Amino acid sequence: MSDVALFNPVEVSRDLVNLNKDLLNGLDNLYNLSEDDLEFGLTPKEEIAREENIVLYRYTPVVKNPHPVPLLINYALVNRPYMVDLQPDRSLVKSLLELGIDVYIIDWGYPRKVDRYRTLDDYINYYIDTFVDTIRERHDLEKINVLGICQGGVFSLCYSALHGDKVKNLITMVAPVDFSTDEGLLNRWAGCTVGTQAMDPDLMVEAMGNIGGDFMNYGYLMLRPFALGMGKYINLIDTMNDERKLENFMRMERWIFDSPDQAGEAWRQFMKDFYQDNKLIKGEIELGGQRVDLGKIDMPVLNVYAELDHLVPPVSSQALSKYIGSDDFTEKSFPVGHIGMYVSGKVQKTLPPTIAEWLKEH
Amino acid sequence: MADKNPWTDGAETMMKSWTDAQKLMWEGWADMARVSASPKANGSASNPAANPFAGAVQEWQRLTEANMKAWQGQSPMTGNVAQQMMASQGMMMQLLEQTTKAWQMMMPHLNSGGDWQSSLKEVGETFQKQMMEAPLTFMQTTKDSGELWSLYLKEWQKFMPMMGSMGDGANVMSMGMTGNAPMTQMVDRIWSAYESTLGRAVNAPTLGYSRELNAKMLNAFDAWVDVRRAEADYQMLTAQLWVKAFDTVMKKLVERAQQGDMVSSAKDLINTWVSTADDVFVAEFGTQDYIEAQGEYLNATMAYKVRENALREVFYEAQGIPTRRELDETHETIHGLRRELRALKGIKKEFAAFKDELKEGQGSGLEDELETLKAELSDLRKDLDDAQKALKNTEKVSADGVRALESNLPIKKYGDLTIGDITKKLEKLSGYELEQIRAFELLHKNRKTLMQELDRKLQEGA
Repeated sequence: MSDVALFNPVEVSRDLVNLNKDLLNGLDNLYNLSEDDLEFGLTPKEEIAREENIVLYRYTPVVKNPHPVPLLINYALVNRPYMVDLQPDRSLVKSLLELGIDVYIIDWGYPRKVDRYRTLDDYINYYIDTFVDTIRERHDLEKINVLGICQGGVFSLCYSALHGDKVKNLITMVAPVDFSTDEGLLNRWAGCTVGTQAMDPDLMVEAMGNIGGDFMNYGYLMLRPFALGMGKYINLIDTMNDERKLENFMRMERWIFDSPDQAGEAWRQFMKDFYQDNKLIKGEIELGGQRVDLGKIDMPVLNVYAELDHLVPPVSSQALSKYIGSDDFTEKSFPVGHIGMYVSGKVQKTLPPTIAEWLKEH
Repeated sequence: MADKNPWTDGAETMMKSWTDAQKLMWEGWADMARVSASPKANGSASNPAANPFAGAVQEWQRLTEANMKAWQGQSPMTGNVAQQMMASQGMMMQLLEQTTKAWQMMMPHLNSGGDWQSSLKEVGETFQKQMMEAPLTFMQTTKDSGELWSLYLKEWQKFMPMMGSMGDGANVMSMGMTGNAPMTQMVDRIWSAYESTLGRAVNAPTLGYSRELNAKMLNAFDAWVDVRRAEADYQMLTAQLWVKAFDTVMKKLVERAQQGDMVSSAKDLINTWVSTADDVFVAEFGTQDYIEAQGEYLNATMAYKVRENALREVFYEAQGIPTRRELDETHETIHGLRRELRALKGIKKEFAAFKDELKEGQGSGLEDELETLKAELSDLRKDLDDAQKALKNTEKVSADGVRALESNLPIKKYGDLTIGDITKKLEKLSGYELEQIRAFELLHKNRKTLMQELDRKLQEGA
């Protein structure tokens, strides 16, 4: 047909036909999949305290004498926290429990319209503080350990700076610290370079009240529009006949699109003060009338980041060591992306021991 | 044997139809090969040779639409994924079609070692022209404000459902990306209600109420025009991106072909598309131009929504429907009350802790300490009593002494006399007697006038 062929049309068309046939067959499996097949967060846990629609859970310890200082996980507001316990073979929580850590977690729930005026001060100085006190009282301890993930890491930094007397050890995981980096597309879109020209948070909150989870999701998907919007669904065809792989895909899909709306005021403050004005490292964040000074973080700190993170650029996390006051600082990185920190089989084997051993040493 | 589910039935039909489409596609390839082999073959973007994928794409879309209904009633999540997969597959086939079309045009030049880049450029320009048709038409329309106003009013006739398209940033932006920003659908029922109630008011500008309404409507109109302009700019930028991505993908395919690394499968082709196009898009997404265009579109959309809300509230208030603003005020109040409640809970907690501390204090030595203090106090009181008694005795002894001294003074009843009486009696006293009186006075009342008089007398005598 031609001397310089881009592709063999007959092969490609035959492949296309077969691909579509595979798709039709595979969709039959998908059709028969029920919600029950996609259970997540299976590690047993107990509700300990509740403030409005925000809940503190304690995972049931699985060793006889867990580490005496419990660990509180602060997850981000932008996705659901069950990512740390997605399924038994991909569960940071389950692994930590098996390594003898007593684990608590805050489930931020789904903010409703009535929560529009909830502020960062509420989240950090009230909800986190209240739950930290609850755990301290339950264990009769002055201080507990805190693990903050992504945006929850930022909250944990603020909390530790303001309430350092209640935090024994702090772990931050894929947490942004220096928001001015233009290495991340998300940072640029949020206005780290051109401010409100990229996005006007005041206008958005005025227009929408709470910021829709769909809007947030759209932004994340646009960071890799072809791969996330098309490529992954085409590649799924290859694995649709494998029930387990299909279920894994669907669990992840459910998590990705299970995006809570963001309480308007808290979102406004986070976008303006953190992303656009980079106030955290400048020591200019104010919560409840108190200035957040990272220099006051003097407890041991373990900072964990993902080397291929496209949501929180490594350089943003690495900045932490420059601003905290602690003289006991440890940093660990893993060769995966943001999500890989929770679901990569390799990371699941190495991350939990890293955390557990560090806690036991401190 | 269990009944087949609706999807399985549909999938079987699709499979059969798809197999038929496959035959057509192969026949199409054969035709295309004949055309390509002809020495006169020289396709152009506007008149490409018959594309074997085109029919297949259409058939696939038809089958998808017909069979996705089977997913109604299924879990929304699985339904969404199924929809997404079918759509992705459709998009993949469209990309295959576009790629093939371009290849048809480039092939003769590639074979002859000619200028295939010009053919690729021609394809890109045609592609860009198609994608920019809608925004360019709008840009043309903006010159005619009357037509714009008419378009806007037409859109407002949809009134309520606007929220669905304008309010959801995700929808707005995704429509911009795909170049398909349809006007929202008319909801006849709501429009009828609007027309029969407040719709007339819009056409009666002399009424006070309508003046307010018209002012808000004009405000919203201005914002709406801004959105459409920003959308057109954004779509044009996106169209350029698509063309750039397409150009990059094709060049990559040519490069592979020239190295003998021919694309072997549809998935290979599409994975090349995905990785290459993503790189192009992501690189462009980070540029100042793109960020500003996206920001302008987003901010314009939000500004419009704020004005649209204001306009909508006029209707809501007239209908006695709670407005967004009123709800916001209520929510703000609730938030304030929550904070007060938390503060009270904090005080209650502190008070409880204080009470506990007190209780704990009773059993931890405070009582003993109190008893010790009480005993010490009792001892102190006893000491004080003793001291008082001792003082009284001392006073008594002292008074007796004074009386004895007084009785030996040369002036009788000295203690009962006034200064004047004493001064008169001093005239008759000797120096020794004056010294006696002075010593007694000094030790007891030490009255200044009397002491001066005594000193004067003693000096005179000396």
